[in-house]
Amino acid sequence: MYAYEIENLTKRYKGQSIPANREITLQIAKGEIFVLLGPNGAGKTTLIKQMVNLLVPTMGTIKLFGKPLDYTPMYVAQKVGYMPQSGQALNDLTVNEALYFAAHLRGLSRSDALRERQRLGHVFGLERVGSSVISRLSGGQKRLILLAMAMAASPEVLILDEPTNDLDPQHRHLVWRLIEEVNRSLHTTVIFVSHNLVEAERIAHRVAIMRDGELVMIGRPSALKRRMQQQLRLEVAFSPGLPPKLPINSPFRESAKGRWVLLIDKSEASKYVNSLTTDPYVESFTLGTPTLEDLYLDVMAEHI
Amino acid sequence: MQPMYLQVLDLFLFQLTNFRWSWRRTIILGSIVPVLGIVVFSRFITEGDASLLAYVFVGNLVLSILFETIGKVSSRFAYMRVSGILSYLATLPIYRTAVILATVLAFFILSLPAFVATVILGRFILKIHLVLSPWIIVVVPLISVSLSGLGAFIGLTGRTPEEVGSMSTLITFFLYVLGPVLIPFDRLSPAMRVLSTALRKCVPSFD
Repeated sequence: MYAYEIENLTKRYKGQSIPANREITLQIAKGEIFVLLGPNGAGKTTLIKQMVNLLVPTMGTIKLFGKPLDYTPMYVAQKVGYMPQSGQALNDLTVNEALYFAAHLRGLSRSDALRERQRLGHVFGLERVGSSVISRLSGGQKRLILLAMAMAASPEVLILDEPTNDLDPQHRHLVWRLIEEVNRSLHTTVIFVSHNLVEAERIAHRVAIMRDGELVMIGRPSALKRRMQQQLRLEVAFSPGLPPKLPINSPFRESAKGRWVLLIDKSEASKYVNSLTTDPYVESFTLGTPTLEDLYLDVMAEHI
Repeated sequence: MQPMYLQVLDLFLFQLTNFRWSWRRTIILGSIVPVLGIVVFSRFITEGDASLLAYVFVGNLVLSILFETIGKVSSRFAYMRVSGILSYLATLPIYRTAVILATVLAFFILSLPAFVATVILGRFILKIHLVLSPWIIVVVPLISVSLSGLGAFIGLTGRTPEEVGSMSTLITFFLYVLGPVLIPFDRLSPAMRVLSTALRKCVPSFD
């Protein structure tokens, strides 16, 4: 059973010659955690806005649990909880009011909505700021509130646009845990946009990489990484204060200050290891399997 | 999904919370400006003609309602659009009409303090005798709700908040001057009389 079936979806904004989404075909299974990756302007937000009926596709069809979206706008709203990328939705309310309204307008009775408000306040650690007006809270707290509002009344599908932006590591882990929990216990389908490849690799059942409005890669993180099975990830740390002495013509990229990453063919590993062990500038180096981030950067590099 | 009346009630309460940020504007535009208008017009425009005081009083009451309805509702809708509130509400299982109805009703309620303040202060300043007509129960809500509807239309159709602000100010001024509720018809300039007659023909209730 599919939660979403998208076929040949194209979205062209008025006055723009290049479509924001181009012939996207995609199925997302019920109970799946699906992560959309891609650089800014790749068309991720446009895609999910069409999935929640905020934008009308130029061409193509979207079905939610088998029903076409264009004929059933209220059906989508009943099934899907949506967290926007930005926005000050309900910013003038207190946290408690916003959570209550979100739960009550999603169909819970007054007493259930009050209980839901309490539950969400507790799981998101928002009890202390319950009576504060949202506009006066930090960016991270606002993200948590938007996420809590999307999760109110436990919709069957959650669509989250960059839910962990602005969050500190502790709260990022909390969000991952909550997403995994609702997915496991309620079989909620979770679709979210992210720039964070670590989180995608950690919680996604499947990821899709978008570029220029198209889906360029889709699959399980482990399966995608297998495409790079002939390669190894070489990470080299150079001595502080010394300029990195990189092998000529090697497409190294700096992963952190003084640390450089290179994807090499397995057959060439010994050559690199011999060279690096005798290099006085090299402080340390590690060899490992490529990460999802490596794959992502590789895909994007092909485009450049 | 909640029944329509519960949706309207929730959204009405949500919109009422606007008083937290809009009370300054309510006081300044809805009460102080009309009261200042009463003071200025009663001193300098009536030229001792007591019969014109009624025009000054009614004109500034209308101004108070116009500010509180067209101005505030249009800027509220523009704000809701820009800030993503409308988009968020569009993703909830609620009717669009519930959103518009609740907003218009809430802003009618929010317009009442300014209206009442203008009545009380205007009566005090102008020292006129007022007779409370039972029709006020029907007329004031009808005026407020219909003007709020106009405000909602401006707020939803304007491309930017600046455009919405300019349009609502222009329309407020247009309705205010051409009523004619502030200045008697025979005192308008010839050009304004033509426009006023045209407006009265377009909107018969202005007669």
